[in-house]
Amino acid sequence: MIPLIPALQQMYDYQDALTVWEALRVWLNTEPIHGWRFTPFWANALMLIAALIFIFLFELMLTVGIQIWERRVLGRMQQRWGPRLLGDINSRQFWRVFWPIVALLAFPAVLYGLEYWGKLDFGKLVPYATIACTFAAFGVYLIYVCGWLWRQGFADALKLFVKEDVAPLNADRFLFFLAPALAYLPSLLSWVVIPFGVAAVAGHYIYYQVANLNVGLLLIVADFSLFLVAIIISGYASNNKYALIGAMREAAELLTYEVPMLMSLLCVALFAGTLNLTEIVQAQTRTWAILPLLPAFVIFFIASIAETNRPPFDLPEAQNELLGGFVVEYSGLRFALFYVAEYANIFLCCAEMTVCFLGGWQGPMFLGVDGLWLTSLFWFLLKTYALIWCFIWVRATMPRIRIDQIMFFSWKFLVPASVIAVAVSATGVAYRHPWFSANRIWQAGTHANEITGQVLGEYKLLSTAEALRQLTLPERAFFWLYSAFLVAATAFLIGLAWKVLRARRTHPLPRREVTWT
Amino acid sequence: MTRTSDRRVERRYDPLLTEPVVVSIGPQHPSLAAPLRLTVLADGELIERVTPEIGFMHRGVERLCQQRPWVACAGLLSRCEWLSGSCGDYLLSSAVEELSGIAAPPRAHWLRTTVLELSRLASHLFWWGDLGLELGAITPIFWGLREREGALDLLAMLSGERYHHGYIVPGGVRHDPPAEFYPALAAYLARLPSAFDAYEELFSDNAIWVNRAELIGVLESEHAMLCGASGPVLRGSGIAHDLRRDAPYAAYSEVEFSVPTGEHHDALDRYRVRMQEMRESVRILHQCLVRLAGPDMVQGIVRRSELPLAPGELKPPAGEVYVALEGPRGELGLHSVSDGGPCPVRMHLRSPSLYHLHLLDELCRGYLLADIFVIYASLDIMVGEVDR
Repeated sequence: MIPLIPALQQMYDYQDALTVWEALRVWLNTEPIHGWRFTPFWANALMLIAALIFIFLFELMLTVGIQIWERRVLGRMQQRWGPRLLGDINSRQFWRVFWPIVALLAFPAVLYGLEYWGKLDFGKLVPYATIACTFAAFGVYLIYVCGWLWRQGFADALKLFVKEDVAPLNADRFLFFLAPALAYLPSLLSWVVIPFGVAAVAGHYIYYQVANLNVGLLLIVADFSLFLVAIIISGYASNNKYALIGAMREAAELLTYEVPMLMSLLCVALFAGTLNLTEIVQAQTRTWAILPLLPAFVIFFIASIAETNRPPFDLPEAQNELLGGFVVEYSGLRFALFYVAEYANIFLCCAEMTVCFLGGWQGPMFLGVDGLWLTSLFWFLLKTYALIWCFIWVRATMPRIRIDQIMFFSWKFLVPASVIAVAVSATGVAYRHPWFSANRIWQAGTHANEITGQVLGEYKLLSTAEALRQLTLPERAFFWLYSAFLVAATAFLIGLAWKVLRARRTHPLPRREVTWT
Repeated sequence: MTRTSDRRVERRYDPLLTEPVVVSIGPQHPSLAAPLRLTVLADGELIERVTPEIGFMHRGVERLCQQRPWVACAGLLSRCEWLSGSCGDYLLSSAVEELSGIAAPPRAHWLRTTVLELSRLASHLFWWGDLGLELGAITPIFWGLREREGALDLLAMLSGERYHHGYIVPGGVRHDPPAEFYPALAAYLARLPSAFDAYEELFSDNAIWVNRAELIGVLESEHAMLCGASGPVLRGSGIAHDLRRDAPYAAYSEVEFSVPTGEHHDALDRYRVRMQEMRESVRILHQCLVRLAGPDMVQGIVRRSELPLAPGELKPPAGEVYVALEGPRGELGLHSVSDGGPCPVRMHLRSPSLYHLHLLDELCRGYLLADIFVIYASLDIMVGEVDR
C-alpha cells in the first residue's frame, strides 16, 4: 500500500474511538470524552432528540430515494426503455448521474489531502474538523439521494401528505392509529447502531454511528420482532378480513424466518466474538465473513427478503389476493409510514448484511487494511446498494410463493441448513480454526474497554498462515481435517439448495413433456 | 418426476368449532380485470366453497343483436371477446355465409386464418402476462404486452383498429393487406420464438411457479367433458380436441400444426398447453405468410360481393345455423336464426368462459386461498364473454 497519509499508519493504535454523537458532545463541552455516564440528563435528552430527528430526516430521504431508484432499476430489468434511455446518452447526462458518486469519493479525499499537505491542521481544529468530516460525507450523500428525490419523490410524498386520513367505521381507532407509528419506530431505532463508516480525526476514531451499543446485533433483530407486532395490531384493528388474513400470514412468516435469520447471525457473532457492530466490522479486517460463512450469508439473505415482505415472500401484502393485506385500510400519511418502514427495513437488512458479512465500511480486501479508507462511507453504501439491487432483482424475477410452501421452505430447508452452519462455525471457533476466529488468535487477558469502544488493541491480527504457525500440532491437524469437512459441508448445502430450487427443472420440461397427438 | 397425487388438503380436525370466514373477492379487485365477484368460504387459508357471481358486466348483447342489422352484430360480438376481437367477426361472417350458401374466396380464408391466429397470439400473450401478475411476478406483464403490441400493430395495419378489427366481413375480408404487411409479419414471426424462449426461461421453468401450479386445480378428463370444457382447458385435461383440426374452418384444413395436450390435468398443464399453442400459432402464421405472399395464390379477390355490406341490404335467407370456431379460450359458438329479414331473429353465443367459470368452485375446493388465482388464471376466464 502507498502510505497516503502518515496518520493512517497508526490507525489501529489510536487510543480514542467515539461515535459522531459523542464527538458532538465534546464539541458542545457538555462532556469529557470518556464520561458518558456522568452527562447531565438534559444534555443526553437533547442529544437523543437531535439524533432521532437527524435519523428521521436521513432515513426518510434515503427510503424514498431507494424506492425511486427501485423503479428505475426495475424499468431497466424489465427492458422498458423510456424516452431518456432510448435517446443518446451524452457525457452531460453521464455526469448528471455520476457526479454525486465522484463527489462522495473526492470530498473527503480533498479534506484529508489538505491535512496531509499541511494546509489544514486537524489537531488544532478538533471539534470543527470532526463535525466537518462527518457531516461533509453525509451531506454529499444526502445531496446524492436528493438528486433522485427532488421531483418524483417530492411529488409522491406530497400526494400522500395531503390525502385524507380515513379510518374504517368499525375499526379499533386507537390501535388503528397506533399501528403505523409502531411499525415505523423500530426501523428508526435500528438506525442508531448501524456503523456507516469511520474517520480518523486528530487522534480520534469517529464512527459514523449514533450509539456504539455492545448489543447492536440483538437490537436490530429485536426491532424486526417489534415490526411484526405493529403489523398484527394493524391487521386486527382494521376490522377487515383481507387485513386480518394478511396479518395472520405476516405473523406466521416472520416468526418462521426469524429462526434461520438469528441462527445465521449467531454464526457471525461466533466468528467475530462480539455483538457490537463496530467490532464485527473490525473483526473482518483480514477476511470478510462472507468467505467462511457463505451458507450463513445465503440463509440470511433469503430470510431477510422474507422479513422485509419482499417478493417472492410478499404474501402478507399480496396485491392480487389480499389487496395489500394489512395496509388495505390505511391511506395518506399512515400508509406512507408503513411504506417508509418497509423500505427502511430493506435498507436495514442490507446494511446489516454489509456489516456482518461484507466487511462493513472497509474497502476490498486486496487493497489492504487501509485501502481507500477515506471513503469508508462510499464503500459501505456501495455494498449496501449492491445488496438492495439484488433485492430488486429478485423482485423482478420471481413469482410469489404460497403460504404452506413458505413455511416448508423455512422449516425443512433453511432451519436445518442454519443449524448446520452454526454447528460448523461453533466448532471452528471452539477449536481456534483461523478462518472462524477472524484470522486472529486471541491474546490472553482481554480487558473490557466498552467506554471508548476500543477493542483492536486486544487482538493481534494475523494472516491465516501466521495463525496456523501458532497452533499446536493437534490443532493444526484438526485445521486440515476440519477444512476438508467445511468444503464437504458447503458442497452439501449448495447441493441441497440446488435440489430444492432446481429439481423440477430437470424433469418436467415444458416443451417436451406435453404429449403430442 | 411423476405427479402422483392431488394436492388437495383435507379439512382439519377442529375441536374449537371455529367458523369459516366469507371472503369476498371482487367485483372490483386488482386480479380480476373485469367485474366478477367470487364469494369464498374459507377455513383460514383453506377454501371450502367458491361461488362466482356474474352479471356485473351484462350488456344484453344477444338481445341487442336482434335489433341490429346483421353486419352491425359483428361489432357487438367482438365486444364480448375483445382480447381476440376477430373471433366475433368471423362467427358472424361464417353464419351469414352458411345461411346464404356462399363461400368466401380461398385467399380470404388464408387472410382470415392469419387474423384469427394473430388474435389468438394477442390473447394468449395478454393471458401470460396477466397470469404472472396474479402470481405477483411483475415482469411477465411487460414482456407479454410488448410482444402483444406487435400483434396489435399488425392487426391495426390490416384493419386500422387494434381491438375490434372488423376486418373479417361476410363474404371474405374487407381488403387485401397493404404491401408492407408481409415483411412486418415476417419480422414479427422471426422475433417471437426467441421471445417465447425468454418467457420460458423467466417464468415457465421457475421453480416457484412450477411448485405453485403442479397438481393444483386438477380437472379429470371425464369431468371436463361432462362440464362442457373446451379449448386449452380440455386439452390440458388430456383430451386432444381442437376445432381447427377436428372441424376445420377457414384454411385450417390446409395448415399443419400440432394439438398439445397435458398429462396431469392440472393448472401447470393448462399453462403449458397455452404456451405451446403460441408456438403452434407462429407455425401456422408462417404457413399463412408463405401462401399469402407466394405466387400460387390469386391476388386481389378477397371478398364475394354477392353479400352486400351496407346495413339494410344484407338479408340472409331464413334458416337456423350454428357455427363454431376454436377461440383462444375454447369453442366459441354462435347460434343464429334468420327469417330472411335485415336483423337476426335470435342470436346466442356459446362462450367457453361461462362453462369454465362453472368449474371454478369444483376446482378450488380443498386448495388454499392463494390457489384460487392460479386456477382462475389457468382457466383464462374472460368476463366479457361470460356476461355478454
